[in-house]
Amino acid sequence: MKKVDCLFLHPTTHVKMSHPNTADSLTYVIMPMGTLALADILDKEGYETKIVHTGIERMCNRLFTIESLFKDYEVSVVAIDLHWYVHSYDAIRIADIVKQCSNAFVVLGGFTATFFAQEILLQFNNIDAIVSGDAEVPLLGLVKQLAKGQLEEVPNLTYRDGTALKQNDRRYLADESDLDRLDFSNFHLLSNFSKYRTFVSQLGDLDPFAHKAKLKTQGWLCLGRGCSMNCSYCGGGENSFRILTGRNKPVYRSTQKVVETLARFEEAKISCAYMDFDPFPSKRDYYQELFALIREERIDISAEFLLWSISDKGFLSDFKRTFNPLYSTIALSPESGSESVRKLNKGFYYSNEELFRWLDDVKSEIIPLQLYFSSGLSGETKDSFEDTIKVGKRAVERYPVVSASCNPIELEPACPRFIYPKKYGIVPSFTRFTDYYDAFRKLAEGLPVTSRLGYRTDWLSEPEIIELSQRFREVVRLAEYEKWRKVSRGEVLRLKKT
Amino acid sequence: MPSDLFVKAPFIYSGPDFISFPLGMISDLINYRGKSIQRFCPLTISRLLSNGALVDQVFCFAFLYLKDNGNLTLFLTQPYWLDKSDLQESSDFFFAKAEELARSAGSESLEVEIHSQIVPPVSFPSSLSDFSYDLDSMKPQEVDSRSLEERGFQEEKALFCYDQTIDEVQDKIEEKHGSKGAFTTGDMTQNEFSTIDAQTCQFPLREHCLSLKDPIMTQRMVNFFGDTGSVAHKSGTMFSRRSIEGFLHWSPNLFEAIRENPSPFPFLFYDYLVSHRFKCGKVFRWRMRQENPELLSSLLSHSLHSMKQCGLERCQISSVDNRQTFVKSMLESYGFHIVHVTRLLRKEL
Repeated sequence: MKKVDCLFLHPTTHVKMSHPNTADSLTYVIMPMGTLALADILDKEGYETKIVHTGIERMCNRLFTIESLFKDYEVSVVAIDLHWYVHSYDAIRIADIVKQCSNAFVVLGGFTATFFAQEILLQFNNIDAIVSGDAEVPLLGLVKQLAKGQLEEVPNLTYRDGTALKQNDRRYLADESDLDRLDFSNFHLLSNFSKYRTFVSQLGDLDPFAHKAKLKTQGWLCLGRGCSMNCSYCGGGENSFRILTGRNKPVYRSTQKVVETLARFEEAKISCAYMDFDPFPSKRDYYQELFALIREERIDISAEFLLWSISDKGFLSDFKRTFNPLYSTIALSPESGSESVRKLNKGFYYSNEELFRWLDDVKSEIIPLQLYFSSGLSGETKDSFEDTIKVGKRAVERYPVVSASCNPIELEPACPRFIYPKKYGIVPSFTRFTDYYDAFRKLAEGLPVTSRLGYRTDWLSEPEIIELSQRFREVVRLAEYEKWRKVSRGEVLRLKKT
Repeated sequence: MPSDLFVKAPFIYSGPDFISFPLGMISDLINYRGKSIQRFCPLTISRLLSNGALVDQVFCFAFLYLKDNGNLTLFLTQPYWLDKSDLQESSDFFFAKAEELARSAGSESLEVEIHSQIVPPVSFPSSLSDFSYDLDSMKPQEVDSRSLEERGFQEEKALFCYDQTIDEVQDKIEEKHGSKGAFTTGDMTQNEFSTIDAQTCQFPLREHCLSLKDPIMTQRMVNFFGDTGSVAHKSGTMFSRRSIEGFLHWSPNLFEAIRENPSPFPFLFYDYLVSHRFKCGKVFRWRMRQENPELLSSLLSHSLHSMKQCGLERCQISSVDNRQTFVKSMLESYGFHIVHVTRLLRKEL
């Protein structure tokens, strides 16, 4: 058996299909970006390290089991990411299997694990420790100290000590220079990386469009950590970061390091870099510098950039001249078409007039656009949701929108709505880790769930919230269909006569 | 699809589901022998270096279509070599993979489109498919047809694209035919198009088209522009008895627009296309009931007039089979000359 010092296992949410002969749906498959960097640190320190994405392995080989890994490897530490709550059940399930077939030390990390650390360790004996917040120094410390049995010096660690739980006082928070030391592109550490870059998209499901011909490969680019705002529904806002990591303000990776990662992306034939870090929309000089460096270094790559708020035209034209237009898109999440609902829920507010002016700019810069809306926002009623439908419809009718989606918002741990439900008019049904765990266990076992979203609002029931998103999709898709039907029949395009 | 392809060899994709292209996926399902198959199978061959890095060798936009006899064929647009350091090995691998792909889909044959004799400008569309390279902007890559023959391909057809200035052609037509009026020519609306297309698909004089049976070939996105069709009837007959004698359908040269604003899917930004001042138009679909010089001149005159009204200066006519002697000699007599030859080669599997 091959000795592995640290085996990273990425869970994938399983949803059991009602049809008996249909394989489970594998969803929420994106790995936290930091996993590669964590594995790289250990690798560089001489520890035998491997990352296994359980969903990708399952896709490549339907007979893959976690048990089979332990027939090949003798593992000292198993690190399971529990960053997103959607992996609440699968992360624990994997830990169970690990404990059944090995003596490996099981450690969890990520936002969800951090937020519910005490509860998880109290409820689930198969978890030996949880690294809270930034995990780079703590995980290396854990792997180093484990053999000596001296875990008390490992920062950010909560662990089992006999029957008691111990939480170390030492804290670690990555600053900019720490981030710059991380390598997010040591792809050979990930088993079946070539499948990961091709089949995992931002859409969440593993191969969600198996019937579509795949054109692009995607990589997730780390630009920094943190946020400067508090959107009501987001578990990664300023206050959430403070609770989870102790970070008070966003930190950026240096533009030089980001460009180095992009160069590695290019070498690894990643055609599109996904960028989702924009904590100071009113001050985007970082991107001006980054984009200039990308051009200077002649990095040829497309980008999918998620703006956290509208931008000026300068940003858009800079974006356009920097990235390969093949798969480059700009994404924005207005969330609601109602200005008052947007104001109440989004940290980064803009009016509809400003939104449409920005859409004009995007159109004039010839950039494909993705828009994200949602239902279930605080203060949202059936009436105010009509504004969301109106804005979505107008956007797809008049602008180069390649994707306009609307989904019911789920209750993220550590988001303002979770922490202050009354203030936001939320009646939560998920308040503990086990609520998330049970909901995803039922999905995996094909049992009915009592709550899908984890809350209702003072204005809407859960089924109503789900139905509103469905209605948006129906109306907006019809508008989109009508638009392209007219265009493709030559009813719209007429050359101007001189 | 390699991201540097669009930089090295700009192209336009005008086929189904182009809205999903920027998201990195496109789809069109084809039904064959009771099975639903994905039509598109873009092929990239890469070399794996010892350090784990990948070097793309060749790309080809391949797709399946149904021939008129109902058989399935895998069509290869001209392979584009991104790295020619080991041409022989990458070519062997590429064609072996294409053949494997074709067989696995149940295809009976493999076809490849090769561009030759490129004398710019070559207007849009430049392919028999919905994936057109801007042949003026890319460095033309010679494909050795002998090596294709060694791989079992045989040339089926050579198709010509002709070019001339609108003024020149109008002068020549005026000189040859004056304003004789055996035919009445008018605009063909998009609503009329599908009816006219169905009525004229068996005309003896027509553009070369891969298939009359497969909708992907008959419903190409270049129908997007209104006021770009001319239809001819015999003069003097009662309206109700007027049979269609022929039609021409043209598209502005979209390559001109993407050179200004690079995008492989310009239809997504159709507002911009409407306001763009195009210089060249290409007749990519044409039909005539009979070899009648007046019929051709009448259709051409109408289309040229429409083009000129939109500010266009050049006209091209594509997909002329080298065996269509009447059309070739007529076009040459109007001053047209060949700017592009498309060779279509085929291999039975």
